[in-house]
Amino acid sequence: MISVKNLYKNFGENDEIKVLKGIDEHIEKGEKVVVIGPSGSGKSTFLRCLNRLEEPSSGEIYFDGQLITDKKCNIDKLRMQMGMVFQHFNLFPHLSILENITLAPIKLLKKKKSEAEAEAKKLLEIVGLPDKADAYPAQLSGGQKQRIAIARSLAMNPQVMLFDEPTSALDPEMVGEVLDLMKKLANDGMTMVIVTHEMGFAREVANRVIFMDEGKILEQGAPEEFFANPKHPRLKDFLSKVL
Amino acid sequence: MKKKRKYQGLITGLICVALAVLIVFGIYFVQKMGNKIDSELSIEDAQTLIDNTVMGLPGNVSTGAKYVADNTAVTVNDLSYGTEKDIILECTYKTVNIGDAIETNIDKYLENVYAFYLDNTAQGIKTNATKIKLYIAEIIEADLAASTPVTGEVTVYLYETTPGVFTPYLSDETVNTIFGGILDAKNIITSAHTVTHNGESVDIANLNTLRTGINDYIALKNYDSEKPDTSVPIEKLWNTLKYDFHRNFVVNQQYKYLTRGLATTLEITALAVLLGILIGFIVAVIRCVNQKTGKLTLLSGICKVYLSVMRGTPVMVQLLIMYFVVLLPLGVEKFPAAVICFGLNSGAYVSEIVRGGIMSIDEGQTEAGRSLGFNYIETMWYIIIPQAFKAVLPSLANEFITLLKESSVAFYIGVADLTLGGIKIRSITYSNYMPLIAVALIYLVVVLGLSKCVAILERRLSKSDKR
Repeated sequence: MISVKNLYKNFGENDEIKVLKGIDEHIEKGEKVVVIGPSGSGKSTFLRCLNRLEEPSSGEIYFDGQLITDKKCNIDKLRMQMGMVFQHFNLFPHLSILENITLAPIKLLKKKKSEAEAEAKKLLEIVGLPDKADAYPAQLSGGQKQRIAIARSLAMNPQVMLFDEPTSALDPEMVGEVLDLMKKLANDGMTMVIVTHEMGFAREVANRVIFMDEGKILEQGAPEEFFANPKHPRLKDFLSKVL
Repeated sequence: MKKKRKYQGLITGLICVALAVLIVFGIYFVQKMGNKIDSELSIEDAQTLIDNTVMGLPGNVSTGAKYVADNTAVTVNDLSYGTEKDIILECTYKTVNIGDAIETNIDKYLENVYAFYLDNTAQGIKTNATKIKLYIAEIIEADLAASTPVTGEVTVYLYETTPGVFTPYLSDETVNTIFGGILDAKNIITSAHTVTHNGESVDIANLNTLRTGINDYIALKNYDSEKPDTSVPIEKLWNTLKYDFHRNFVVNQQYKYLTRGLATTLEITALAVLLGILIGFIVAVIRCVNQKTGKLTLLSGICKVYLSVMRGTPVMVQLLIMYFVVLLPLGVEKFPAAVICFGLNSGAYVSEIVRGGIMSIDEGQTEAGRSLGFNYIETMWYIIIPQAFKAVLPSLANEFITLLKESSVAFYIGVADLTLGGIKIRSITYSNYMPLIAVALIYLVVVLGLSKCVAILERRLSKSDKR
């Protein structure tokens, strides 16, 4: 479903900061891929390149066979099929929860308001916050905000969901509710790419775990093998610290 | 806590008003208390004053009134001091009952003068009021001499207008009493519109000469019914204010200069504000797009020039140039010219405010919008600008209030705004403080009202921030 070929990403005025140094990756439909790695390893940048929130410096990314790194490609159309969940939720504070969820379906998918709202209420049931439709983001806790952010992405019926450290900004007691929701989503067959530090979650949900450091993929594999029997010394070192 | 604060301003205001009222009334009462008579007056002096007044009232030409005055005696019996720089005189009077005489004989007099008038006309002589007066004088005087005198009691007031100088005040009622109903007599004469001639009723409503002639005979030429002014300074100030208010705003409906001017000022401001917002948002978005994506370089450059010019020159110079150099040759009227000029000027300031607002919105909001599939403009429109607008609303409101005040220079190109209204009234009445302070007060009230509206709007918009 997503193919990444030779992806490079540099920052700075003269491209002096090299964040991604040649990533090759293929993600199948229905796969749950968890990306782990130390801070500054480029995992978030990698994720953000997948929907071109960061413009890749070079390399090719295919989504559903379409080359999305092409300048002529209508990236806005493709982003509608790629939901994204952010570390800091990024809910729209001036809109109610219901409006947060229905804004994109109404404006972009040209859905009727009543239809969009009915769907939004179903999504609110799924994320377990049916009574918050008329609340505003500032009235919610962090965990609730993140669940609403997931609902907002799901409202566009995406083919793939990208999660950028979805639980990193949460109080520890709220992490569980968000992870539970993501597990539910995974069980429903959604294709997911998740950047996270939650190793337990990775072990439980992922089909494949990717370890990145210094802009490169150093090791990947099925979670049982990956955690039980790490091969790369950098991964061994990393796991010994986080587990 | 918030509720308490809300009413604090109102309560403070009310207390201030109450204090001001108390102080004014305090001054009023203190001055009233001090408003006592300065010198004393003997009954004899009072008698002389009254005699002179009574003798003086008819003047020299009203022989009938003079006859009454000559035969009137007002005797001062008692004298007491009042509280308003006044002396109260209790008097007895004896006079000729002229009212009764006229009332009884009015038909006879009219018949006589009408006959006299017809006679004259028949001989080709013009009849004027003086001739009538001289003709009727003898007839009436005979009746007066035959009438029974009336007597009674009357109260007369003396006022000390300047220290040591007393002026008698005779109201209509007092004069009528002392002079035996002379004012009643006048009313009877002036309302007489028919006369019986040769047994037939003739309408003389149009023959004013007849009535005037009789009336001249009994008129009190020196009579002035105005009460002497013994008011205290604060009353005089109040009266001056009332008078100035009247002559500045009420006379010829001159207040309309201000109301129409205010309407024009509000129209100019409202339209210029709309234009300013439009231009401001467009310029702000262009500059933000340029800053973030590097596109629209040419447009952004034009915007920068526009901003420099608008913010680097005085609005009055802009107005003069805009009207006389640019728009007048194109045949644009003053009013739209003022709207365009103030709109362009305001747009420059609004754009900077809005740009600041857009920049203050978290980058994550743009990313969230873009990740959902909105393009840059849609993200701006649905997500960034609503939040930016809320964030900059107080600054925008200040800008608009500034614009309302700045629009007062519009009178330089002859727009009849509120300021010009005040100037016009001033040029009519030569009164300075009243029209100018009125103009200032109106601006103040409008500005305070606008500020209040903005505060309410802000509260509404902050709904989403409530926890």
